[in-house]
Amino acid sequence: MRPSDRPSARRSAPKPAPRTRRGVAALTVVMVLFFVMALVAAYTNRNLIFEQRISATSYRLARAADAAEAGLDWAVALLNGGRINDLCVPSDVLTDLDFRRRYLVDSTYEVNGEGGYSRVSSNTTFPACIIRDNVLNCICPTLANGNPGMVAPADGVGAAFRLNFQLPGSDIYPGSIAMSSRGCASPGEGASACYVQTSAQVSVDAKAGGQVTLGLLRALPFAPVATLTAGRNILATGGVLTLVNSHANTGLTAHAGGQFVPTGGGTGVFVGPAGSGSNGLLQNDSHLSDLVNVAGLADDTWFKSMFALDRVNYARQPGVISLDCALVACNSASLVSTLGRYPRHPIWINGDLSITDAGNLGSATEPVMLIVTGTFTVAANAQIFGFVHANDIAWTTQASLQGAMAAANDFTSSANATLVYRRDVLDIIRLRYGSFVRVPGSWKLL
Amino acid sequence: MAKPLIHRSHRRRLGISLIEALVALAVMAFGMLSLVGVQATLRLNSDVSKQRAEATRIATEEIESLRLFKTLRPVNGQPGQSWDEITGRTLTVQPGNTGNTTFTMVRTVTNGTVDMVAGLNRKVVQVQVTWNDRAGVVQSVEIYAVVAGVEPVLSSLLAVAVPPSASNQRFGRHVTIPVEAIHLGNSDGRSAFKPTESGSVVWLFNNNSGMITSRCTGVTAAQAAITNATISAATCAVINGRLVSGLVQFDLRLLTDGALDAGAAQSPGGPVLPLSANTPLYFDPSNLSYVGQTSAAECVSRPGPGGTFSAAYYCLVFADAGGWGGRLDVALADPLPDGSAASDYKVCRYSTAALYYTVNSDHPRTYCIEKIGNATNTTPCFGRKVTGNLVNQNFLVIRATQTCPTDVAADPAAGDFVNSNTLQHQP
Repeated sequence: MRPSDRPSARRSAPKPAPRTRRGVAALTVVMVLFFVMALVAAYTNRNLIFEQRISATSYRLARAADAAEAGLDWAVALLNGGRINDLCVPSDVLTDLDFRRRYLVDSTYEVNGEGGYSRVSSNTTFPACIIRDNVLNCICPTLANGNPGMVAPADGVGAAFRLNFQLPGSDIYPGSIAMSSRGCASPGEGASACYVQTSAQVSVDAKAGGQVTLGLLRALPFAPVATLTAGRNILATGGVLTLVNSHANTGLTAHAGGQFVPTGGGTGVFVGPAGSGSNGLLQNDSHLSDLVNVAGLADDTWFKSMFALDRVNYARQPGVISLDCALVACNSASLVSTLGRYPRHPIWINGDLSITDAGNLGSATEPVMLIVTGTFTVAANAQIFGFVHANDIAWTTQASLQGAMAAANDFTSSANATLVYRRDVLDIIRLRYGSFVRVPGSWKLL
Repeated sequence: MAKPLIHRSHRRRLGISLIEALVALAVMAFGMLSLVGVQATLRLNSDVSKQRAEATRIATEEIESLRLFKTLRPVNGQPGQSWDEITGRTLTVQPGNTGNTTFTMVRTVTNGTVDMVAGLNRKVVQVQVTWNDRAGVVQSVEIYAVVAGVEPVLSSLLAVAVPPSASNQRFGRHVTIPVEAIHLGNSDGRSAFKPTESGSVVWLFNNNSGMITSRCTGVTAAQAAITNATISAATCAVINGRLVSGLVQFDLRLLTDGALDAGAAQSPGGPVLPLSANTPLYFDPSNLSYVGQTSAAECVSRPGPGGTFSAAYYCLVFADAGGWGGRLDVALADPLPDGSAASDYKVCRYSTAALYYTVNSDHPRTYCIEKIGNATNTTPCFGRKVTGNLVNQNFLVIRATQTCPTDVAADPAAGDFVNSNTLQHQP
């Protein structure tokens, strides 16, 4: 039976119906066709979309990688700097620690070798910064002071980095420490920010990491073997010059390229190690005098022999603090102010320095290291702890020194001078003073 | 009736097909338009992304070039290669092969305030690259960096051994080499020392390290007459030797107050007793901490310096590369010429320590016992083994009835310069 023969079929299928169905079908076909075309278009353009993604990713990665690298350089600069507060801003408050002692501790020889360093604690804190518009916004938290809190930009724009010192391995070269930096293309927020003080995973645009090993370039490569070393003569023109060296392995009191010359009532007392029967006086060492006599005082020969570096490069080391005294001689006040800001740093005095204040200068645990390009004058009853190197040394007032002293030219004392060789003091200077620099070839991408 | 109706309907349907086709075309056209729009946007964005990649490259290249500074200070004739010259600058960059726009690179440098005195040891750098895209909209990328002012050559110095300095030596050689030793010249780099003037043995010291590198026999020339030719003619064996030297002082006075004080330790009153001729000092091989010595040490003694009641001694220790340890004892001649026995005397050692252990240079009872602990077969050393020479390892011989003189830590301010403390060593 045909459908049109059925009354019900005729009723339910009015004549306009096929028209509508045909229209919908055409539209559907068009839509399907269009959809297919769109798919084909999207498919053929997927490389364009990909390229955009790659370009954005490479930009974010470049930002993160450069932030990580910035962190490493920032830490190198701060490790060689002075006292800072919890926001890593330079400080002259004597209770503020410098960056080095915020994160590194002097390790013992049994653990990390002579002059080794370790991280402050296994439960460590992490210095971090946000860089934006050329401004560094940093935190340098310590366990004692806690986290000062990072002030992050509200719009979340800016690159950030966070540093982590590595616990040294058992076979690490003494005096070196590894440090890693996490760089982020954006600072992130809250507990997943780049600078968090936990080991939580961060949620930022992109992150990258770098690691480098730093080594301490020692400011005093080796301690002198005598209490007083002079390239030329040791002159006692008044008072008693007392030189003591009870250190068994060195034992020298005066070590001169020239001679010890007492004149005008000046005398010398030289005391060597206990039971050695020796006064430790060593004169006319031509190896010493040749350094100043052959090339001349102005030449670097003497200086290089003692510090293993020429004067110009030595003075521009990041860990060496310069004090310009070329026009006006510096005195105790300017020195003490500099020492306050830069504890445990060699101080380079360009010109003359005169000790004009009585009292202690440095201590047995925080000795001073002074390199004076002109004349070092002791004009007050000071107790100096540390190592002093000068072109000439003039001792005009009764005072004392514990450590060692060296004059490229002459040492002249016209008053009571007591110099005692202290190996422990010299070892602190030898092993802990200097500049942290990158160990060549240690850079790694994390 | 029905036929015209069907006819009309068929005609209308044909017209509708045209309209349908037109509508479909219109829909298709709109769709195509939007597709073209998407295509255009994609093309623009693709262009921007290409430019962004280029801009990132320019910025990274700029920052990398900053890190490649050769020196801190400017060098004549080599502009722009020093750290001091890292300053802000603006540069227009037109990439040669791919460019359809011009990039402007702006480098902004802020000097650090960390270290005003020490010469601004870091610079904060921002490199911003901007360009106009095809639609004329300004696009930009920014990369930040910090560049520390560290002379590049300093890093290389970490790996360079520092040569010894005249200030760290005595007469241009290691401070532990005996003064009497003959310097064989800079081309040789060694010093010859005859431990016994009448003997035929010569020890050769390396002038830089102080180590005894050779032991020669058959040398009849006197100490002062030794030359390179003397050594060339001798029979020498290469050894890994270390020196231990010092004085054995004597104070055998029977003081009325019964006790020797620190002053006696500083200036002992004698007289000198003879030491055993063959082994004036010796390492006891039965001692548990006798470690790192490949054969018995060779010890000799000679009269001490003038003005003292003492005998000087020199011991050559044949050491392992890793260092050595052990207890060095004094042997008096027994019986002594006056008929008394060596046991009538006590040997004290000069040491600032209060107990048997201390650092090797401060004369512990047993070298390499630097910390508290008793040596065992498995742990013969508590502390570092001796790797270098030891000098000024002094002893004081007193009567057995006396006690070893003690002293307190030096106090230079009070005029007490040396700690002459001694501890009983033998028996």
